[in-house]
Amino acid sequence: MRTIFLGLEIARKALQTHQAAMNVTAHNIANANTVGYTRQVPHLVQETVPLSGLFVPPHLKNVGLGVDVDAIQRMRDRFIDLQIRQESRTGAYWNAIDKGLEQIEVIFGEPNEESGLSQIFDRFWNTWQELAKNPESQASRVLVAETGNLLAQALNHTYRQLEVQRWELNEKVAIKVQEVNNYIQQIYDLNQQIVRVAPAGGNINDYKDQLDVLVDNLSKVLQVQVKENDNGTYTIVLQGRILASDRERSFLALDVDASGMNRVTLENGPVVDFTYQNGELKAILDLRDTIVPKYQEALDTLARDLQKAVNAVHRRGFTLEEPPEHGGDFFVGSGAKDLAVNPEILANPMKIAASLSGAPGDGENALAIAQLRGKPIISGSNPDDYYRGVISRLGVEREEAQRIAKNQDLLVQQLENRRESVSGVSLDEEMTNLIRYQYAYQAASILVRTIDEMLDTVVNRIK
Amino acid sequence: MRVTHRMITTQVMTNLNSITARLLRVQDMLSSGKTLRRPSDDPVKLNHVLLLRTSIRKLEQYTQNAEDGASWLNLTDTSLNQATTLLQKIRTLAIQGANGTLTPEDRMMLATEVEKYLEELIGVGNTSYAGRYIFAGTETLTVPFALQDGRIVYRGNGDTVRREIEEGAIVELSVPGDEVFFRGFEAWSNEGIDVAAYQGERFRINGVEVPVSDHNGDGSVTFEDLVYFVNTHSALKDSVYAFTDGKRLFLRSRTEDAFTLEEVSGSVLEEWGLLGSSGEIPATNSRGASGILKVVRDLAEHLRGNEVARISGEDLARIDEALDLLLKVRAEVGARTLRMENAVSRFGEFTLNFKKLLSLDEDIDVAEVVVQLQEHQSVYQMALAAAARLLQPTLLDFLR
Repeated sequence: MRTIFLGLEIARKALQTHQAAMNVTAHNIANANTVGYTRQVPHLVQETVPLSGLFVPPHLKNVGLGVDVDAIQRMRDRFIDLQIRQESRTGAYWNAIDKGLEQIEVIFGEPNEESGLSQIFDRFWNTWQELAKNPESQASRVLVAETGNLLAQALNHTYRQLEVQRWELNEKVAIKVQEVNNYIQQIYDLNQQIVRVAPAGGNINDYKDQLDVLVDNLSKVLQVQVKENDNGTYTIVLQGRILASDRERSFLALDVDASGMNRVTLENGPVVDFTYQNGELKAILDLRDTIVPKYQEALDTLARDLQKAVNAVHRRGFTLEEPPEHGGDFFVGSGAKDLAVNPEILANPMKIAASLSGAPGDGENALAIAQLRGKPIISGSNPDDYYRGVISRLGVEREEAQRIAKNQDLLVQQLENRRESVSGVSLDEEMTNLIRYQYAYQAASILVRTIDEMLDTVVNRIK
Repeated sequence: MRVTHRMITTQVMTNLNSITARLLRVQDMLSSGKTLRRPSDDPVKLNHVLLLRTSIRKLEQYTQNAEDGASWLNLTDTSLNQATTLLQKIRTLAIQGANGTLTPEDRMMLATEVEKYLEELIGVGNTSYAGRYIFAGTETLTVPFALQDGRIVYRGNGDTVRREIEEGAIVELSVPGDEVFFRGFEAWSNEGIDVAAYQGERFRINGVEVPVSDHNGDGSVTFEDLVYFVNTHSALKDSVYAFTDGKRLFLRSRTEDAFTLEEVSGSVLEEWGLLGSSGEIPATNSRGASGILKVVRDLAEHLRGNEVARISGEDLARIDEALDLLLKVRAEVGARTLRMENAVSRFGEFTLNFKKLLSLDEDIDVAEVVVQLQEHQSVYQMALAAAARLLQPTLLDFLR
């Protein structure tokens, strides 16, 4: 014997279920443009009489008991998340390297005809040629001294700009560590909320969306291990240390090495090993510790070897003093950062040793210095070749970084499209669902009215 | 595949961004006129561009060197031409003087005329170019020739001014005055002497002690050290100057008079061939004063002394020799001038070619870039139009 109230109960469930489903749709539409939002889908299940265990009254056999919202699902593909984190980390690394190299390119200022070092080098050698032609001329001497000074200052300036860049990068290390610590704190906080809400049967979908955004962002800066726990929280691990879980958190810290540079350490722990790291922080450290110093080193080699070669020839010659004296050092200094023309020569250009015999019209020594430009004086290459090599290497390096960064960006974009395809809100789809639920709701209402009429017949018409 | 509206908008944005980035690059090229703005734009091309620019600047310098050299040589040639004209006039006077019918008084008059020409010749020898005496060797700031009490003095040296007119190509520019005009008494050493072996030994020139050691501080003991010592020694440099061609040591007196050489320790001078066993400078390794000025001064002296036989004999012969020498030197100067001028015109061509290559590498092809700009602009407009159509309709538009 089936009771008429069973139909009413099924209709009530249908009304409630579709209302709930419409709420989910409303939530989806409302968040169509929210960053990190994952489309939610109500999981509708039909209610049946349990087949085992309890005694089932005969009138309930073979009868459905209506519908219910079993769960509200987040439409998410974990595998795509993993890929996106990995590829966008590589992308972030190369983008940061590209930016750093761009800055180095600007500092070197090639191939601008007015600002590059190469044109100052050309002028430097040419003034020695002029001096070789007019060794008696005070004007030629002043020109050699001043152009030498200009060259030295250009090397100083370029070197110092690179040094400034290094210190800026060093500041950035601190800023990035702060950023990572913010993420750690936020992930920890969200974990806590999830732990509190989930046992009470609350919906943790929206918390998880926020968690995923945080982990995405964190992954761009630093490569960490991410473990999803059964209760929906995330555990973030770096070098065996738990940075954030649902119970504990541990920040990154900074200390300063002997040269005043920031080192990233675990809180009260060892220095973080960046050898197999990836991401923005690693890029900043690579720029600071390897790439920028490499170009400083190149400038140093250039300055030191130039100084050595020019001085060696200069000391062989004789000045235009009465009586002629042996030339002293033309350049002084210890490298690119403090290379300078000997102040004595700047004060008295007659001290330039242009002559090889002591005679004032003899420019042989100036010529010998001018000819150094064609000699392999800078670690086996001539100065022009060496400098061109440095600039070419810079160009190739940045071209490579640009290429990889662009590829990675494209790859990440494709992956994000795939993620969007799974997790994104399609308004068309939501509207369709809305209509679906609306009609189901209307139909359920009609069902209630129909049963109402039936009850009316039973209760009121039978006399 | 599920396609959401966000995917469409991101895609549209990405595409629009990449098109505007390309537009920006074309815009940058158009406004700067250059295709290369950063090394990374094209590292290979950049290398080429830097190389070409350096080559052009080097060529400009070498062109200047060669041009300057050519004008120096032109002046040398003009001076030598003047000297030739003067010497020919002197030769006419010498022929007159050799005429036996002339009286001693006539010869005195000729002598006065020759002496006037001698002074003119000295003036030619003191020609300067941009404040530098071109016949003074490398002592370019010193007036090279002078008459002191009727005697000729040369204050220059035996070196030549040289110039690089091409990578590694060094050309001798000047003709030292002692090669043409006047060379005083001269003595030279034998070839093939290991100077370093005599380190520590000493000898005397004009009573001034000359030690054999590393005077110029280059770490080795060679003739260069003695040249440096002699040419800078305050008591020596006014009477004697030294010169080396790398194999032999030349000691030259600034006047006709010989200098004195004495051994101090060992027998350096004798072993070098500068001194005979009798303490005299051997004739095989020495020569008396020579040069145009010397010839002319002797002529004047002989005219005054009425020595007809010497005038018609040795003087005329020596004037002819001097004229030959001038001709020879002028031919050499001419050849060098030609070399300089060739270099200038060759460098001009090179520079032009290099500039063309440079322009091919770094300058934009305006027509091509403008076409590119138009292409990008129309693609941009199409993308905007497509975006406008794509983004508008949703199901909402039809649910009314």
